[in-house]
Amino acid sequence: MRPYFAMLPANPREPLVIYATLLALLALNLLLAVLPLGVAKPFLIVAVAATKAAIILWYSMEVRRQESLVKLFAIIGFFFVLVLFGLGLSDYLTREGGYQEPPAAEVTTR
Amino acid sequence: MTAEAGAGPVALEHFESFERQRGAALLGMWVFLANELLLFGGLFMTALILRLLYPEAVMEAAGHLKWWLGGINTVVLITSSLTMSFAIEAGRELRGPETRRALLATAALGLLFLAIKAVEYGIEYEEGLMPFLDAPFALPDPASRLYINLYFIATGLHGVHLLIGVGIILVMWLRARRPDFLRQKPTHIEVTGLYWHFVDLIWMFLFATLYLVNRP
Repeated sequence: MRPYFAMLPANPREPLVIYATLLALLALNLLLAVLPLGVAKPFLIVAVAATKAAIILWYSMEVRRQESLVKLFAIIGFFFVLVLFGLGLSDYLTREGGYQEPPAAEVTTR
Repeated sequence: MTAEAGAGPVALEHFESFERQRGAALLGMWVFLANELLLFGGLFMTALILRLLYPEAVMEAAGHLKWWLGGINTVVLITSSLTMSFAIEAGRELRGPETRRALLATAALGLLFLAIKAVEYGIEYEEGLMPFLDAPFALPDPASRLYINLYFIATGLHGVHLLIGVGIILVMWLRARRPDFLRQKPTHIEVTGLYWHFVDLIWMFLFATLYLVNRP
């Protein structure tokens, strides 16, 4: 009996499928970290992590079943993080002659 | 709220329906989580810039992090998300004892995560990887200290979020002792679950970014 949530279908197997998928993706992530993949490695690892996050967002957090406004707010945070990255990298990746290290400051290492 | 036993959904008086009430509760949590995402987003941005500026120092520092402990903790958090999903589902079906058991399991897994993290911090202290607390720093390149600092700030901030989550879950666990709690506060467990899953989601990125991406 689910008087308040009759609109949501009960699917007791779904959390288990999500769980198994996330564990498999974690294994894939660890595998990618030890394989010699060169420059592609960071991108592949982040792509797998983003897939895990998307599964949590879409299924565990049930964004797919929310009304449009909640969906918008669930996704807009990620959009602004991308803006943050885009604006930040537009500086670091486009400086003429590459990024110049700032002059070495006095660093005391204990 | 005047929900009688066996009655259908009844909303608080300022909502026209339970669906509107639930939508408002979820939207409020999502607005908060979007802010949280930007808080962590700045730290991920920092990690990327450090990698771009000082690749050798960052890779050396990342090579000293205990990826297997981070991996075990990832399994612990994924499992806690599973038990949280069980708690939400049991709560929707008004199965009080099952909801409480699943909540307690989730809180216990959260504490296990923090315990493993504490062990990890302890090992790092022993190895001279804590450039504070008056400990000597083991790595020669000063730039690697920036990365280790970021590691402690990011995982520490995540740990604080997890601790708060455990606290909220335990409050829900206590409140759910009342037999009418799930009927009177039908969105509480669900909104708590959103926060918990979000802390899990952040860890997926933290683990990949701090431990794996920069491994030599």
